[in-house]
Amino acid sequence: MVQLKKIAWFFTIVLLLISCSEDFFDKAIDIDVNEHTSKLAGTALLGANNESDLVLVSFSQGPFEKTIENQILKDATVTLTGNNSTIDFQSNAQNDFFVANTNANLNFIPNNEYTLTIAASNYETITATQTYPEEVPILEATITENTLKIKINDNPNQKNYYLLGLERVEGNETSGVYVVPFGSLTKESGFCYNCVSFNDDTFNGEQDFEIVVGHDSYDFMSEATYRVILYHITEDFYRYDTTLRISNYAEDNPFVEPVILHRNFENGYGVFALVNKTELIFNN
Amino acid sequence: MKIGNLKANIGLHASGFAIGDKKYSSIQPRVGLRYLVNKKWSLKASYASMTQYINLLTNESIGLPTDLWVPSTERIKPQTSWQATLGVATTFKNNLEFSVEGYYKKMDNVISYKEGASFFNIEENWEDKITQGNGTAYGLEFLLQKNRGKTTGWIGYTLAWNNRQFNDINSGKEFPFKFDRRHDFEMVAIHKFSDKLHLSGTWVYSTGNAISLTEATYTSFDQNGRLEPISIVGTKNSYRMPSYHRLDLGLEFIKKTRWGERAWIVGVYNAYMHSNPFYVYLGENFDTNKQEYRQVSLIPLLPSISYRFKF
Repeated sequence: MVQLKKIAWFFTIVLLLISCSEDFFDKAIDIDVNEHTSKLAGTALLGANNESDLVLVSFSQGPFEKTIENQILKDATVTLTGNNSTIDFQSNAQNDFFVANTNANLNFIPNNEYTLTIAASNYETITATQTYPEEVPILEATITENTLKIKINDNPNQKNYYLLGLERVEGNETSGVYVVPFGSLTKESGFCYNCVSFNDDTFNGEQDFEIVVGHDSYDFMSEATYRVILYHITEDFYRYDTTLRISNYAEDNPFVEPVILHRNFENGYGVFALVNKTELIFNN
Repeated sequence: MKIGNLKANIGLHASGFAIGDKKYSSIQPRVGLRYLVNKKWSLKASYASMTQYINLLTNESIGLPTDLWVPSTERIKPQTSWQATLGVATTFKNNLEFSVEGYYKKMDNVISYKEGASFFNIEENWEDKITQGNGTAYGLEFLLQKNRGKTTGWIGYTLAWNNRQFNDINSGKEFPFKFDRRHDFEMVAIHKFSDKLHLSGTWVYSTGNAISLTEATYTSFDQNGRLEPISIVGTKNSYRMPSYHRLDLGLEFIKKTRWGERAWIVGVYNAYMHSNPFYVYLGENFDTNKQEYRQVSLIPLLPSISYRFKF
């Protein structure tokens, strides 16, 4: 019995010493991950105005395959169909984007459907369809040192989604002013750094509804001209914007719940969004 | 209640819970049936309805695993569920028992962290960080037991599925729960060499926890036209950590004394030092300059000594 005890002690101590290797506590592992098949990825934000109607075509890579900084594809065919017409987008030689042909008139009609198609050799074609949102005029805007207030009429017959931004206008120059959430109605935007996003869950259909947001009061000027910009956005863009905001926060943070970034392209990644932009210039 | 070879346990459980201005109540019927087919075979079936006012909140990030129990509140409804089971049991060779049981459980108002939430963020109200949805769990359990003789123990195996669905997680699509373990195996054996010396061993094996990993990257742009990288997490919990297994051993030295019985128990946890994953992170391999998944393990081998005195 005594001998057995000694043997048990010996093995316990030896095993304990052997086990304390660095490799035990932290080591590389193989996780069964399917080999990534590269897909097209599009980011298209159209409808605000022709200048900012941009389409970016990218291609996906697996997380461990990343070989280049920007995964841009310029050799692609980008077409927008809707309103009984088809508009081709051309690769812009000066930058990475695709823009509509100069003679094309991107005249979006509210409540009409538009489909964006991106095709490239060796990739599956991706498509996404959006309905162009109605214009939502800003009825009134006022600004104080801390808050910006706007009034809008919300359409009661549908769910509506918005992005709100602010600029200060000095002659021909404009400078962005950060607007920030004030209360629970609005959230920071993921796509637009100095905007807030919100939906009409809590005020659906209200008329003359006042939205209050905070703003960066550091360079507030009591006597200045401001431009408030309201984007009436599609649900897909709102969901993309929201998930992008929280995924930016979650990225590289292993303690944050994983975020599934919203996408609406079939057979690929990315988002096609239509926005109807309205603005109001006012003097404080 | 007993009618011939049929034995039934029928019950009704009522409970209530009040918090703030909110009052919850429930009536939960429960039925257990056992039918003796003959001396060796029996059939079992049960149905139970349950309501619970504390809820398991599991962190499903790939980082530090934390499970919290949180109460129902005015906003967080109690979790309700019902479970039905059907099984068969038999004995053979006089000292072996075998049973197999299928189960199905439907859960409502289960809770989960919202996407992007972090339990580290203590500035945010915890109720704002969670969402409620539903879940299903089903599977088959096999159990072989030996209760008599010098060597006793059991072997248990469960083939299981456990899924969750929340409107605002994973685009509303159903996904595997973190603890969706397809295979769960446990083997326990105790051998009595003599009245003074017992050796016990337990070996457990289970499928690794379900985790979400980055599936792809692409390039997008922001409102200023600046390019920015985008990481895409695939379907939630669509990947698996490495499987979990370990062996625990114990030696029990027993001695009768004038006042009773004393025992020294020398044990070792994780005897063959398998590095089971505690959490996973994405790290860089500095030799290859490539990213790789790495696991952190906690306990390589844990010896233990305990003393027991019975009188």
